[in-house]
Amino acid sequence: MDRNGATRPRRRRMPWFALVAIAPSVLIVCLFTLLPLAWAVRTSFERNNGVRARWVGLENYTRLLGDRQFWDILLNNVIFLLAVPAVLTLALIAAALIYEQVPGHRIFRIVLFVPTIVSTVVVGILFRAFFALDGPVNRLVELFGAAPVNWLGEGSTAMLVIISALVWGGFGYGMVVLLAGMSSIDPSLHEAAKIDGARWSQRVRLITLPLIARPIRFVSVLNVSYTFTSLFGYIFVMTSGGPGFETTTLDYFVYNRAFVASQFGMASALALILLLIVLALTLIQFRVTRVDDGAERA
Amino acid sequence: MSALRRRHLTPLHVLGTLLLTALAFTTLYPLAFLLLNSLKTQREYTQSPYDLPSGLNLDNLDAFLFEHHGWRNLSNSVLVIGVSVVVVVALATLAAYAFTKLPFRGSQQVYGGMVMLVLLPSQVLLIPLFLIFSDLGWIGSYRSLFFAYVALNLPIGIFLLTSTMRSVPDELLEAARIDGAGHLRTLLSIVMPSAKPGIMTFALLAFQSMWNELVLSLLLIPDDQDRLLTPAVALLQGRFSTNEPLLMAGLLVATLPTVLAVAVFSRYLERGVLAGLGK
Repeated sequence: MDRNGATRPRRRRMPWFALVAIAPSVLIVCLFTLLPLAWAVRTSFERNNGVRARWVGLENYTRLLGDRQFWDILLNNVIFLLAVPAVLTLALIAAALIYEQVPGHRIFRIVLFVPTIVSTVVVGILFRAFFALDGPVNRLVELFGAAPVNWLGEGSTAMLVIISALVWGGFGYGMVVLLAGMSSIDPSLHEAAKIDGARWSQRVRLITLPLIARPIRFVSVLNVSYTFTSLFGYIFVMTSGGPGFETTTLDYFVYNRAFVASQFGMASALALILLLIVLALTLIQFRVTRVDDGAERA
Repeated sequence: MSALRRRHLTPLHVLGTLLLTALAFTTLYPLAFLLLNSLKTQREYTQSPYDLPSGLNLDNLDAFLFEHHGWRNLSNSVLVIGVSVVVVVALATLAAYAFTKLPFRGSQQVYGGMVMLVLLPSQVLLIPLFLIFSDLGWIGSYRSLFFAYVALNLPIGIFLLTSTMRSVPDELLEAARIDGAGHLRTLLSIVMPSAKPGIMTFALLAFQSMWNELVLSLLLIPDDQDRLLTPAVALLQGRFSTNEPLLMAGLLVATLPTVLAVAVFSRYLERGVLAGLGK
């Protein structure tokens, strides 16, 4: 260190071990994430069938935004967002009851987490089999004397089946995250409220909810971006986007344009619009749910 | 406290237990359905999907594994995903150690850039990766999947492990340094044991996300025999949608490894799960 006050900030040299430790990760991320991202931007300005490419400027974007089909598909995604409040509600009720240590809470905690570890493809095929025309659900329907329903053959019922699959596969993870948030609440708060005669619903609303605002936001942000980016597995095995395009989501449409229609430029533009939507939705949720609970930001 | 609570059951406890029991039924029944129907013959299934199977009939499992190369798909998955998980965990551990314990000029910026990539959806990379790998002649080679999986899981891993390693006290590292331990030694014998829950949680999350991944594995490995298990099962249902028991056997094989992984790693899961990934 300099003793005479006229110090120049000391240049901290990069320790050689830090270089060795970080370089492989940086290299892999640059080559297989950043370079492809730039590549996607370039492809989105081209008419590209995978073999031949021609620069067309913004044409892909303007054509997409002027296309009725794009907006219909975006609307499908918005409808699938119905799964998010359902996941949050189920996760919250289950977590609050387990936190309350109802009888069997230890077993419930494990059993309700089980669907989370089943992969989307398995969940999708399972739900498809359940709701098949001659499947178990329709047998129940027939038992009650009603006519069997072509669940996956109609757009609206197919959506319902996919949303159920999403909720079934997703609420357990939300529950665990919310439980982890609840475990950091000071138990004396609940004890004091109980002595004052507060009911369970009041305690959940006035004590638990405000104190787990951050985990709730985390689950909500995660599920919203999930609805826009990770439905491919469900759609692929359950409906292939059909009937028509009635259950096609943006992420499935990217695949469809690129690998069924060979319109790589159009598909890239679509993927980048998807990226912007996800970023915007994440920012909006952080703004709207800004909470100041004094905890340090991750 | 909890023992005392349990003695007088309130209506809340009764209603709550009933509600959770109903919910638990819906989570377990589909899996029981899967298991039971994979043991049935096709005729038994058509007669009634609800009845118990007439016996321990392993024909479907056998047919899936050996006639429809399910066994090969399973081995491919274990190999490719196993190697990818080990590599991504090692790289993320090294990088997180450097970011937390060896800060240098610009390291915060590099870290910030990495963390931003967590938000990048894989659909954006799908097309360029496919085009780049086609140019390189890597389609059909596990190299393509390996690099894609490592690159896609690195950002979240570095984020998780950096926040875990921040809580390892610097005094411990100082003590190791005075004892003459080098960086690698310090990392292996001081930092990694303290950060073990975080590292294990990330390993499990990375495994899950790769096991769950469909679209890249579908496109990058087009050969039926070379495919990983998840795309193989997804395509199986297009071909054998009328043979439900065979399909159920495939689903069973695809689910068991994740159940096994969660069972092995579950004791670490609690602490690390908050910042983790969903499916």
